[in-house]
Amino acid sequence: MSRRELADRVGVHYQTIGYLERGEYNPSLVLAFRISQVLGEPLDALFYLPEENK
Amino acid sequence: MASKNKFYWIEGVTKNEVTSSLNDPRWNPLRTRRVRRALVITYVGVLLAVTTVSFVDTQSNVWVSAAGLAGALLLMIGYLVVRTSVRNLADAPDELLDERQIAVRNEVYLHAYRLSSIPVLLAIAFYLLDVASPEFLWISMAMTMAALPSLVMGWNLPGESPEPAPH
Repeated sequence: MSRRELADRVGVHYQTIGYLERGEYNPSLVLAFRISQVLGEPLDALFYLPEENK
Repeated sequence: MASKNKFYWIEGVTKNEVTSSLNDPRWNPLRTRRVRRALVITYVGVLLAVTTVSFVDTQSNVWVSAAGLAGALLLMIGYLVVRTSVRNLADAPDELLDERQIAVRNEVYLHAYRLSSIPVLLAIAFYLLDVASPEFLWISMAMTMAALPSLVMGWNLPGESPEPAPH
């Protein structure tokens, strides 16, 4: 699936998908669930918190 | 739901205009971080030059006046170019933007609002002190206020990545 196809299916601009892929934007919960649904992957397989340095 | 080609009165844009600018690849060379920042620096440079003209007695020096007018024209062109480099994002209505674009636009307006007091207060001070001719002063202030959101956006936005070819 191309970036543009995914963007059209989840209702965002294709550039936003690019920012998500590069980790330069954190999606809202609604957008994250939509992406998870479209890609057929669980949410935590697609999005996760970076490990914090202790 | 937005009608066919709705005109957004507050923003002064049509739906087709915004949709086109958000997706148009023609001006992509303007959308790298380096080019955007160069445009911002150039615009601010011309703005300062036009503001400087307001301190000169333009009535007795026609060439300075002409240079000021040329600068004003450059500012109007530059305003359109800077807006194009950020895909008119700073002037688009919520209805036509996705959540990231709205967040970026709102953050830009916060910074632009904070910065806007500087040119306004300076213009008022120069006018009250009667050290500058009002024509070019108001031109440069008007063009500053009009372009400020796009200038802030142009400076801060990262460059766009091209869409990868489909597999």
